[in-house]
Amino acid sequence: MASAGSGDEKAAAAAMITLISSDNEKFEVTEATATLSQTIRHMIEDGCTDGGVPLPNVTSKILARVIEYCKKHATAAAGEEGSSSSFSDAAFLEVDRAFLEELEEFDDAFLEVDRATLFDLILAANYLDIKGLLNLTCQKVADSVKGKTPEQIREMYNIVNDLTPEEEAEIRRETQWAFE
Amino acid sequence: MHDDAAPPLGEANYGVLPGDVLYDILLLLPANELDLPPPPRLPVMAIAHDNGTRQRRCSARRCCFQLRRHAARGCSLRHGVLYDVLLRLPAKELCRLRLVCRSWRLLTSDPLFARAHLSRHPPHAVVLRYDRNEVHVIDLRGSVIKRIPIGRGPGEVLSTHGDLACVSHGWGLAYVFNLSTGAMVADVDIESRSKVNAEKPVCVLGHVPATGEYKLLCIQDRSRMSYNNGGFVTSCEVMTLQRWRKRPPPPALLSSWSVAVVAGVAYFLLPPPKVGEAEPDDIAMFDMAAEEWKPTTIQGPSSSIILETSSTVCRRKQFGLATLNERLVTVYCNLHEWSTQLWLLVDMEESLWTKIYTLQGTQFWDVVNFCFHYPLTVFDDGRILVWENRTGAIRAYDPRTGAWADLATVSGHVVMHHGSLLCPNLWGC
Repeated sequence: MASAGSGDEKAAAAAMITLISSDNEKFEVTEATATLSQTIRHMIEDGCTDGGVPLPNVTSKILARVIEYCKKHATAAAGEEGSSSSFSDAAFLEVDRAFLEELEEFDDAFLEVDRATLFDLILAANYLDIKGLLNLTCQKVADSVKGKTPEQIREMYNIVNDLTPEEEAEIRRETQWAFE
Repeated sequence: MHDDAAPPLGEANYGVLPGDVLYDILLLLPANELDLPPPPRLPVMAIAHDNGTRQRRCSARRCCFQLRRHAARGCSLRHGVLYDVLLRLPAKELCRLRLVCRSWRLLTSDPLFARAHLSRHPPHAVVLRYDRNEVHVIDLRGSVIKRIPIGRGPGEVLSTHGDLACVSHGWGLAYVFNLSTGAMVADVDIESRSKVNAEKPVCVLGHVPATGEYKLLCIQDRSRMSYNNGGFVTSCEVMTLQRWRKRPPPPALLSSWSVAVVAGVAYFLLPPPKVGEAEPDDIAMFDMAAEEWKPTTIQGPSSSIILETSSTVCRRKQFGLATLNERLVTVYCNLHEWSTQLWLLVDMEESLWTKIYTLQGTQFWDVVNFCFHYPLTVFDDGRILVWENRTGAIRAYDPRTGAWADLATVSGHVVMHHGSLLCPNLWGC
C-alpha cells in the first residue's frame, strides 16, 4: 500500500498545487489531494490555479489538518479505483478491508480535537466543498447533540434560552409527539 | 459604532463565504445585527458558485463579511456549523430540540431547511393499524416515530397525498387529517343511507395539481333492490373536503377494485364483466379536476405480458395498481416464475406500458387472495422498498443482486409519507 501511495505521488509530481492560507502560509499538495475539494477542482478545471490558490477563509492551522485528511483519503480513493478495475481476488479484498479499517481509525483519531477546531474544520470543509470531511465533522457534532436535553445543549454551547414560557408551551403543544 | 465591539481586523482575513453559510448566518442573527456599515475592503472573489440557489442568496454577501467579524469565535454553535450539524439529526430529535432557543426553532421550522433535511434522510412510511384506532408514522426499521389517534374505531383503507391522509372507515365514515400537524382537516359522515344490502363504501384522497385542491372520492356498490333484476350498482361521489357531489357511476361495477391516484386522476382496475368481454386489466379513470369519468378505459400491460411469457391468459386477480414516485404502476403476480413485475404507464393514449422491475422470488402465500408486493419507493441506491399486503412485511429488493432484505413487519395498511415532519405543506420534493 505504501508503495502504491508513493508511486501515485511520483506520477502526479508534475501537477502540484500551491494552497495559500489566510495567514499567507503556502502548502504544496498533489492535484489528487487538492481535488478532493470540489471548489479547488473547479478552479483547476478553469485553469486559474497559477501562482497558488488563496484561501482567505482558512487559517494555516486548519488548512494543515484539512490537507492531512485529504492526503489520506486521496490515497484511499486511488486504491478503490484500482480494486474495482483490475483486482477481484480474495487476497486483494482482504487488503482492501484492512485499508478501510485503517481509514476508519484515521478518521476517529482525526476527530480528537477541541470543539473550536472542529467547528473551524466544518467551516473549511463547507467552504472547500469536501463532502467526506463535512460529513465526518458534522456527524461528530450531531452525535454529541443526540439524546441531550435542551438544557444540556444550552450549557454545552453557551446558548441563552430566549424563548418565552408561552413559546415553549407552543412548541410542546405543536410537536407533542416528539416528547413522548 | 459597531466597530468598537468588533474584534481586531488582523485576527482573521474573512473571505467569501459559500451561499449556504451566508443563508444560515442571516437566518440566525437578530435583525439589528444585519444593519451594519460595509466592510472596509472586499477581497477579490476567486471562487464562483454557479448554482442558482447559491447565487440568489449571495446578493447579501457584503453583510456576510461584517457578520463574520461580529460573530463570536470559538465554541459557539452559530454560523454555518449549526445548519450542517442539525441537518444530520433525525426529525423527531429536531422537533424536541426546538426548545433550545429561538434560532434553533426558526431554523428547524424553515421550509428550505426542511426540504434539505427531507432529501438527506430516508423517507417515513405511514401505517394504518388494523388493531387499534391509530395511524403511525414509522421509520423504515419499523420504529414508531409518531402516533396519531383517529377517533372513530379501526379504519380499513389509508390513502395519503402530501401531508394529508384519509382513513376510510367501513360504514361510510372518512377521517382526513394532516400527518405533519396531526390536525383534523375533515371528518366525513358519508352514509346516513341504508346500510342494508350495500357493500362498504371506500374513500380515497386525491390532489388536483392544477388548482391545488384536495378531493375525496367515495365509491360504493349498492343493491338495486328497487329494480327487478336485483343487481348491484356502483355509486360515485366526490367532495372538496366539504360537500359531497353526486357523480355519474363508473363505466363498470367496481366491486373488488384496486385504486391508485396519480396527478389528479384516480385509476380503477375493473373486474371483467364477463369472460372475453374485456381485458383482465382494463382501467377506468376518474378525473378529479373535472369530476368526470373519462369516456374510455385504458388497457393494462396484459397484452405485453402474454407476448413476453407466451402464457395464454392473465387473470384479473393477478393485477393490482400502485403509485411509485408519483407515477402509475401495475403490479403483476407472475405465478409461473414466482416473481412480481412492475409495469409503468408510459403513454396513456396508446395504453403503452413498460416493465421497469421484476422482483424475483416473491411468495404469494394464498391461492385465492394473492399476497401483493406493493412498491413504496425507490431508494437512491436503486433498491425498491416493498410492502407485502398479506404478511405485513416491509422489505427492500436489490434488482442488481436479486437479494431481499427484511426491514420491518407491521400490522396495518402501509403507504409512504412524502411530507416533512418538520414543516407542513412541503410535500413532493
